[in-house]
Amino acid sequence: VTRRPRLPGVLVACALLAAGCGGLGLYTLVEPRVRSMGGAYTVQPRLAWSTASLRDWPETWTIDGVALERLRFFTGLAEGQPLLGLQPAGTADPRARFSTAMTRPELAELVAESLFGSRYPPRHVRPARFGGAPGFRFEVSYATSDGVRREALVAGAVIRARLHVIVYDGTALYHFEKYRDEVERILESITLTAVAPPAPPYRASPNSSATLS
Amino acid sequence: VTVRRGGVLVLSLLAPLVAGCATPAGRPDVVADLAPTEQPSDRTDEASLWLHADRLEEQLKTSPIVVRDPALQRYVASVVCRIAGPHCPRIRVYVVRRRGFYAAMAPNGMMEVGTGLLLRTANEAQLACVIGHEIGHYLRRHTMQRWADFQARVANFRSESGSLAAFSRDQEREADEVGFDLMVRSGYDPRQAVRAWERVLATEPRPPANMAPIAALATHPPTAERVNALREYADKAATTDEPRVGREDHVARLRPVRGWILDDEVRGRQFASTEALVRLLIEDGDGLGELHFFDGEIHRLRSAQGDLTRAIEDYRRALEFPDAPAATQRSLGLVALRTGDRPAAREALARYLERAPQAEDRELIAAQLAELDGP
Repeated sequence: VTRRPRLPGVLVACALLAAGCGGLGLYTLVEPRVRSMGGAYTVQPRLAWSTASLRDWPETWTIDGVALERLRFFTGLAEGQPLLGLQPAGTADPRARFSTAMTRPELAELVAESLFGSRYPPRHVRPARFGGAPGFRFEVSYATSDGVRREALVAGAVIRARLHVIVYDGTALYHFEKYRDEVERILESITLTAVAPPAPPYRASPNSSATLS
Repeated sequence: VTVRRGGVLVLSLLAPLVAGCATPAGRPDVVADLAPTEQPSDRTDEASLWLHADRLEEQLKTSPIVVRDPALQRYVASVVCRIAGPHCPRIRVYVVRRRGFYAAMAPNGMMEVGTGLLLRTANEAQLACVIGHEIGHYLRRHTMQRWADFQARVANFRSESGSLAAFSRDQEREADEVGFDLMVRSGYDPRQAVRAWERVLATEPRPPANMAPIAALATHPPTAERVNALREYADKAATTDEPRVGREDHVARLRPVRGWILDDEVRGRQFASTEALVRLLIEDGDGLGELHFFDGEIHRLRSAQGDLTRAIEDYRRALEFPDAPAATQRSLGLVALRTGDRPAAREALARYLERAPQAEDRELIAAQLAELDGP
């Protein structure tokens, strides 16, 4: 019996490995200075993080690796959008969707349900400023499918009719606590981006016959 | 191993089992029923299948989906033992936190019973019917038979999925028959087998109109067909004078956990089928405050045209019963806020804080209340 070399599989594995180590440039350095998030607000980390940007995924930062700890920025969710991008197959789309009509407790509920499901209820759901905006905070203890315990800290708010959420999570054993203070400082550093004042509405001069076409 | 999802049984664990068997050592053409103490011989396909199932079971033991509730576990295990008879010592049952109508059986005797299944069965006899079906797969060595069939098709270079689906349907019918027989022989009311599947029929999710049926999921007889077949069995079945139904026991065992099981179902956001389920449970008539609350939650979370008005009606109806959860006032307050009824929102949120002073979201609700009281 001859064995056919499984080259495509090997190549994929190498690519994934390289990507995980930053070899393909998926990860870039986040320097400890002011950084704009989706044009809506800025944050200022004090440590150097790495960030991975993949299409349809929130911007994700990590220091020791996403399996150990990660900081995710869900920026600018519009009316009717779900928090997570992937639709499960085979059923009617079960994802909860953001609505500007939601009350603040319902926003926290939406985020907790979308990220952690009903099995892991949020703890200490409380009001918290998100930059200057009235927002919410909560914590969740959960487990991955292979039983690894993780902790998460969530902050969010609606800014100019769009939902912004920051989620920090890491292994309950060591890594979540390792960068928690840094994450708290990042949350404290949130500064809403000023918007250029809208142009004055067109007002026809009493003597003008101009009309908008 | 069979997995039910929304009334459709799927052979899901078979794939890893098949993938892991590298050195098949011949297949039996006729597979005899499994004897109570029988172990597959070493170096056989069946031994490999059991070994893989053992590994899956080791993973399951530490999985967060296993419900660690000794009372519930004892109850389900007692029904399994009653049905399995001499096979009882070899069957390990795990109650798993899964939505929908779900149970599964591995060739090595590992059984999963989903919380969604417990919720959908109205009594012990209905639960016994489904457990009997799963034990039918085990006794008839259906995983082994499917493996043998798979090998035969590979040897003949055939890979058409139609025959696989048909074969599986035959196995499902056989498991229905074996399960029914076990159930009746164990003293359960045979008519409850029909009722169990009628409830599945009433609550199974319909695929979205724009979605084609998935061939791999079409491995089971249509539910209506099963109901008819079981009705025929039940009409012919000879029963004892007072066959066991076990409604009171079943309801009492589930009552302490029903709230979070219902919450799981509602958060699955298959609103039409969950609404049908809650309606069915309301007809059963146990714990109406809790059920009307979850009816309201379905409408609040869906928030389609007219849903918020219906949610308010549901919450108000729930509050007429002493078992309405404290969260009824919370949800009533939030919906009232969204519909612009500030006085009703204020009253309901204040009552929620009175009833649940230790609630995890008390600070956020208090802030909402303060905004209402503010300018």
